[in-house]
Amino acid sequence: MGEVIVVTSGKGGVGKTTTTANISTGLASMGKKVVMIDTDIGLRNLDVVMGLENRIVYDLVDVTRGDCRLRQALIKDKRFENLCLLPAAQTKDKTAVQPEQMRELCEKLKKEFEYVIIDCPAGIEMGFKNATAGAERALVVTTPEISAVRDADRIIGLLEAAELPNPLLIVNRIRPTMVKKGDMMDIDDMIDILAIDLLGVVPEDESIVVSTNKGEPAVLDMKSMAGQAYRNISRRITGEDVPLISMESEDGFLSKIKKFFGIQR
Amino acid sequence: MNDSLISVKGNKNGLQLICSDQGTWDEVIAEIKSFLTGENRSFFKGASVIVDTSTRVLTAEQVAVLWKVLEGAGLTIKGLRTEAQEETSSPFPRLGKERGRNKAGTRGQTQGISETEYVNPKPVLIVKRNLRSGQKISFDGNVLIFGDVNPGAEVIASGFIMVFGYLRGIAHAGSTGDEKAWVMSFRLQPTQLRIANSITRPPDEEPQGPEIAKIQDSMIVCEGIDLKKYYDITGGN
Repeated sequence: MGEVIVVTSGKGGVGKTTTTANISTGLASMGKKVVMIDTDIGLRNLDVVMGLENRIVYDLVDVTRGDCRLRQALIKDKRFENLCLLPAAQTKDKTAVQPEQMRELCEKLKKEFEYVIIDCPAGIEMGFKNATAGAERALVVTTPEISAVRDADRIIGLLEAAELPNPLLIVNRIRPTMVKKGDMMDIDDMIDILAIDLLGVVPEDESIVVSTNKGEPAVLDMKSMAGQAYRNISRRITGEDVPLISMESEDGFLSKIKKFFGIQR
Repeated sequence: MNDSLISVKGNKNGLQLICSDQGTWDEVIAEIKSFLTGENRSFFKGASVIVDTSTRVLTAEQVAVLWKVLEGAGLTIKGLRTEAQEETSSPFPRLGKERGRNKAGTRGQTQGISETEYVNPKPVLIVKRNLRSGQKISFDGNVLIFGDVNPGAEVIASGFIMVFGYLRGIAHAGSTGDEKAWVMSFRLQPTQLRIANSITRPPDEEPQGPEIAKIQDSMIVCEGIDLKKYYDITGGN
């Protein structure tokens, strides 16, 4: 039996889709059988980030409606045999999928895959309820901004109410130099407010923009800092104990392993 | 159940088991026992009731017996109600001692919180989790929170509010106009603080210790509290 993990944040633009794509690819590169589900109906992105847009025939709504078989809608990744994507529909009807259907779908998928990673849409409405319905674990993505942290806090509250306790935190787009100068929120500050365990920290990295545009997840780029962070996060999800890397940049070089502390569940 | 000592009523709050003032408590218990047999037993099984003891004041032992009887019949007690005017025996015996001692001598030193602020007859809601953004607690009584109140969360109480953690959200004590209400927190940094009809914003500097906010001369005043003063309340005799 596999594990169903939802990637959520509340606020938009903090990197849920990027995180989903990278973690899934990271897990697949470790040989795990992984399926991604894009639940952002009407605003699908995950297929673009994965570079699989031109392969979509059927989507999530087709599956839940029974217009096609589940197997027909799953798109095989071009890099990994063991990675699949179930894309969202591009229709406007956000109510096309019900939480109950999502639950059933997740039950089916987890029999076949080791990890079912769900990309949650922004907001706390229907889409969020759908995305969390079948999930067993939650990853909350936030950026070091007050508004993002506030929304993450709200989401954690809703996750608790939805009986998905103990979500794990991913802090995205952090700039170590700014944190050092005191211009950016410290990770400690965020953990202080959110009071949940940290899964990983992803630095702001230009290579993410490039890789997203190319449809090649950064996790496969061995030179990318963010890619390294995502590789570590993927390994932590499998239960491996990986210390947090420091993102101190010295004279423009991203190097130096320093503390940056680490909690792993 | 004709001229009996107990009666059962249902209203919007659920089932109410009303015990009359007549007879001794043992008789009432016996009545409840016999009431909850046979057909009634299966009918009421699984129900949750509010027990109204009218003007009767129960001791802890009496409550325990009642609890056992109802639990044994498969009922759960949702709450106890009493119309008693007299003060019930204090659930905080040590506190009572402390009060007496204060009156005797050391009163001048213990300003911070006056004794009456500790004891008010309102019910207490105990919350054992963090209150997160968007979550709201509204309670007619006192609220005790073991956890943080995060920005965007709201606590409204008609009595006092005590937060064993960070208070960063909105707190409103004495929401029904009780100017004696107060707010206490290990770190008092609320977005906004209201007591009765007064509203304030906390100062910008971060508090370094537990603080209490209350109304003094129709203004909300925050001051640090020295917990050592109150050691006697929590421990020792």
